[in-house]
Amino acid sequence: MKILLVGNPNVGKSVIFSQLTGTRVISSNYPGTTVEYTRGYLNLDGERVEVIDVPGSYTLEPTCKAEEVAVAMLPYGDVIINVVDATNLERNLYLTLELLERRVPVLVALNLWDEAQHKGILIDAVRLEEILEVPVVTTAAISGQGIKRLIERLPEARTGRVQWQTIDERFATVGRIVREVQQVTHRHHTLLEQLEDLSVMPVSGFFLGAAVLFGAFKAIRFIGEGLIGSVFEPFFNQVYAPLLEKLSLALGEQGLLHSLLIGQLVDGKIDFVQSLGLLSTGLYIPLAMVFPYIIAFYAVLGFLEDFGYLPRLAVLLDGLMHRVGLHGYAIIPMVLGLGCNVPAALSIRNLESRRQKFIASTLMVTAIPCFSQTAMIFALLGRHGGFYVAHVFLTLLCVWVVLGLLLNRWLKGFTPSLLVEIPPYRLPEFRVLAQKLYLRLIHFFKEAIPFILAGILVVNLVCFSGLINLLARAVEPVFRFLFGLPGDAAIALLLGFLRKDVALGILIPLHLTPEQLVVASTVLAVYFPCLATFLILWRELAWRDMLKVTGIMLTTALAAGTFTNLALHQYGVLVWLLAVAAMGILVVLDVLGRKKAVAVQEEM
Amino acid sequence: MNDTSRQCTLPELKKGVRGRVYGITGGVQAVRRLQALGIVPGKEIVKVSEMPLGGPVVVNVEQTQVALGFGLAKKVIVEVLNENSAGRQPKRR
Repeated sequence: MKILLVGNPNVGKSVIFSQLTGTRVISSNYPGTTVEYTRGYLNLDGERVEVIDVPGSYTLEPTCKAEEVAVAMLPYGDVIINVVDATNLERNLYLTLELLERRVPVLVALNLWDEAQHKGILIDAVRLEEILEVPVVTTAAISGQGIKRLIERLPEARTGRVQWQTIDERFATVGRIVREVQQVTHRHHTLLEQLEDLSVMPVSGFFLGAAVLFGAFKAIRFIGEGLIGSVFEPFFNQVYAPLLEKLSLALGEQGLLHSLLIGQLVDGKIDFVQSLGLLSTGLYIPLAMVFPYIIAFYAVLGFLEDFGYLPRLAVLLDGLMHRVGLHGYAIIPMVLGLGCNVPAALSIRNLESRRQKFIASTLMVTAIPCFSQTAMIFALLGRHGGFYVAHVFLTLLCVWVVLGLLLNRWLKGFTPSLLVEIPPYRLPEFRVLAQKLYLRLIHFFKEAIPFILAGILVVNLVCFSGLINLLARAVEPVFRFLFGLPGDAAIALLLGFLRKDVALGILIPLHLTPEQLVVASTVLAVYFPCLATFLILWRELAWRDMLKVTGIMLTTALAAGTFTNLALHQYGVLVWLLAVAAMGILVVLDVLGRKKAVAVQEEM
Repeated sequence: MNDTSRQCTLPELKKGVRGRVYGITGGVQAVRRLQALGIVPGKEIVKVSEMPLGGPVVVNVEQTQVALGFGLAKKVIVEVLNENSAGRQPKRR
């Protein structure tokens, strides 16, 4: 038997799924968190029943890829649990009626019941059950309330007796039902609701947005540095280092195995950053340099997601995003991409057109560094001064803007308007945040550690076999001329295919100048996504578009690297002025072009 | 207070004012997307805010807040209702 969880976006399907099956999936407070279906199992009177968490959809007529996934799943369900947002009964019932017209047993979970009560929305669930002629169970999934009852009543799920209706008839029916079962009592606005409205007003919205971003940045640094200083560095220096030194002695401080596991000794001691052994650098980079910042980033992101801030950011930035051929909601993959490009590449499914998907994917993989990379850029360049760090990120921002403006000019078609439901602000529960953080950290471990160890292994093999010299000689002229980098830096680019953080890590023993590090960091960020992201994009975009994206990335990397090299080594501010001027021209062209395009867009 | 049957597009509607959706002038795709979020003729909405320079318009429909990009908002024709509306609206007068 297969049970499908079907409902509008952001009604808590994933939370109910987690409660039913014990399989943890990521849930957030914005529409479109789940873009793929997830399976889990529920023990129903000794029978193992499959439960499937389906992406949210407003109707059974899909308007984007995530909704298509949802509709395509329907025929495979033996029972459908229709999750309904009790605070939004009217809008949710439309889908319920559509489901009842299909010949499949349905059970309604009236979720967010607690929140509806707080909001003064009274629903007569018994009467609703009588009208719909299928079981209705009230639930508050986050606290687990009503889940047991939901399972108990599963066998009562019944096929609806609703005849097929036209769209208008369906809306009329919904209106009739709501008038009969729902009563809304008036009450005063809470502080959170006032904050909700302020977040989408022009002046206060941008002010709050700036405050949120600044606060998020500060919080990430505070948590990250705190963790490194008080937990990870003491652990590595005081607990792990002595152990490793014993091993080093036991291995005789040299030889093949020693180089592989511990690496080269620097001044007779193990240097976690420069030794380049599997057990030294191979563990130090992911665990002590990157991991604390990953914790910090996802703790802050998780809070913003569950609080419900991201859709408001989409509203604020919609105008800007239209300039690069996207609409506001494309900010979600960009923000997720700052953490890890893999989930970001998946969330691009929420965008409607192929053009938007192409632009969003290209901008995300070229100009959005994942947090592993960001942490390493800070570690590498931070000690030379904020200027160098800022240079890398400003260049990436310019790449994002220029590339977006160009793609928007060159690609045919137009961008559909933003249309998104803005969920209420909700104060997240600590337990829920902790669970989500845990899921993401596990994902980091699965993704990062094997790749980083593989990367270190590759470096060692390449060094031993002498291939490194061959490679360095081969690319030396190009690297010198374009980037002002020594040929040895090529190995970092080679490793960047596997994982960006380790690639940055192995730049350290090369003793580059801060300027050279900036060039290398910029090129590494732009030229290619890591293997994991590449594979996902390959699947999502299909090979033809992926080849185009790859071409764009390589070209952009050459341009960005040369640009940084010229800016830092030769002409200084002049290059930046030129870049800004070029951007200005593009913006002016865009504004002029838009006036003509408005007439065309009206037609659509 | 007295103008009961004045019509305008959504971006033209004043902040905090209640309106009733009169019609949608776009194609099938636009109508369908709006329908999914409950923006259909006859439905009462309250405009919450609007971003400058052709940014999105935010409205309250029933208990939901919805953001419509400028292009889409222009296609929604509303009948202006009583300015002194109940329901959630911006605090400012």
